[in-house]
Amino acid sequence: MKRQDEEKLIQIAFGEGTQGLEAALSELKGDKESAEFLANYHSLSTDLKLLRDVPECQLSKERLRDAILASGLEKKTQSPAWLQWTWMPAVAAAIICVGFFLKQGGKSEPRIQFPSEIQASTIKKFPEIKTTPFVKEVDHGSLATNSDGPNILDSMNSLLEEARSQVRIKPERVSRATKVVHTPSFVSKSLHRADHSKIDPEIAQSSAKSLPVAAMNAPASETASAVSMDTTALEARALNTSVTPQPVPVVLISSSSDLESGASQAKEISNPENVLVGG
Amino acid sequence: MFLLAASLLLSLRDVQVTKELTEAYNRVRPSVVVLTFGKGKQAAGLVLDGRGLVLCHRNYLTSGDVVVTSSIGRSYMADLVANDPVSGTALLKARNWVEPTSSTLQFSNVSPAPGEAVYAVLPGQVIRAEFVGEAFGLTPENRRYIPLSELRFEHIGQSYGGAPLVNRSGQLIGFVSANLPNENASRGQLSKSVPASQFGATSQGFGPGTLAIAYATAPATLNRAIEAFRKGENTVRYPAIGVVCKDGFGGAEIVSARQGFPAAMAGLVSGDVILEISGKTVANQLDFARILWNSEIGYTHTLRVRSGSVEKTVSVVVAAD
Repeated sequence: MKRQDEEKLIQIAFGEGTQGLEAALSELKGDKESAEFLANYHSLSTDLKLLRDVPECQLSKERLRDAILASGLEKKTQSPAWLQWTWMPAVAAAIICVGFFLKQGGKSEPRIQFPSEIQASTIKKFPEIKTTPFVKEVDHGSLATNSDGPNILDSMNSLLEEARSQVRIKPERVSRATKVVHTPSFVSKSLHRADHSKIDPEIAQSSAKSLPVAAMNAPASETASAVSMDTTALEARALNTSVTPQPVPVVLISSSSDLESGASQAKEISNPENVLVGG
Repeated sequence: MFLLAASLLLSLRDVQVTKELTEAYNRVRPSVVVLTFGKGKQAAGLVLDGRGLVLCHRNYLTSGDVVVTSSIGRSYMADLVANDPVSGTALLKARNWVEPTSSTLQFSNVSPAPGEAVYAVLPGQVIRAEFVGEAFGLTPENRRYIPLSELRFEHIGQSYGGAPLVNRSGQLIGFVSANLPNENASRGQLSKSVPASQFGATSQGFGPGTLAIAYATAPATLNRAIEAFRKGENTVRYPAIGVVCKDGFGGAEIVSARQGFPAAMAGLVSGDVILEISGKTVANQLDFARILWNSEIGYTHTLRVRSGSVEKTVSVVVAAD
């Protein structure tokens, strides 16, 4: 069946053709396919005519908008986009909390159990602790140094004591921030700007000037360096990676204790060449 | 995702750190005792042997009685037996000591590798530190050289002075004897110190809190004291020839020679520069101290000395001081 014939049959089925339906069917008695085609379209036309007419008002945009606003759009079952990502920081925070908890647990450490009450029925004093400092035991009259002048070791001791008192007077000048070990080369610039102040060598030198000539040869300059926390050597260590072998630092242990740790105070000596060593 | 991964790694690291610390503590635990001093001050000590000899740091010593409480909770009165100012150790003897022999101290004569974790034992607590390396220590009394171990502590504010220091195997390697002062301590800000970030990365992953630099008696130093104590000697002897030296720029220049000691007896005087000891070049006074430290008492050293414009060779026998 040709396309042209189909259109003609459709027009007949919808009553638009010049020929009536019955006449057309009688003409198509021999053509079963075309007759069936015509009958289907005629049936479709009949059904369409049976549909109710849609009021014109119901086709307006305003009515459609009002209907939408009144009933609302169908809600999506999928959660909003922002909600999809909230679980990640929440999980991260939870893991951080767990990590922190574990860390705290590690620091609490196993504790030693000991009796709550210790019975100490007898009290015995310690025997007096006697130490034999090398310097103090030196026979003052037999030193192999300038016998005309005062004893060099006494001078050195007094000089060191004086230097220690300088440290105690101005503790803030000892820069703790300069003690850096195995720091990578990207060490913060603030470190370089750290307080490079030290116990002023002039203070030690002026103290030394009041000492006998015998002590002036070495101890004065030594004191100036011994009591200082010079940043130069430490920064040199800080700015070098651990790949380069570093000189072993010289540490002078003080007899005074650190308030915080209970340990003796230590001082790093920046100029080992001026350090006096006994042995 | 980055936060997640970082948090996970942090947690795993902490678990590992805690595990290592606990293992180290469990190994040393049988020999740990709590020392209670006169005014209630407590410190940790370690049982040296089955006779009830207890090793501790001399900083703890005060006049008055001391009670030793063992790891299984028994308490004993104790007496001071020995006190060595050089190594900073003291030896106590617990009276009527009855404890299992398993409580005997294990000691290591080897320093840890730089970056290795070490642990300071406090009464009822163990804190972690990092071994940094060796340091050239000088005692306050006589400027004697002692090898030190340099440490970093994360727990600023902890009173770790004098605490026994053990390695991962729970073996004693020293006592925490000194630390660099915190500049803020004088201002009442004990809890503030240098941010860990300024120390750079540490192998132990310290931070982001604050770090403290401390020094402990090195195993080599402690070994001398322990050997003497185990032999029943109450005085630890260290090698000396009786001189005080400064840098002689190419040698160790004698500042003073102690009368009656080997150097003075060999004719060495102030101004002489020691250039060589038994074939070992002495570049400065630090070299001199190191060589002397490693010498056996009684050993005869041959010294090459520059006296004025003349060089001479003298023999000195290492004495004990």
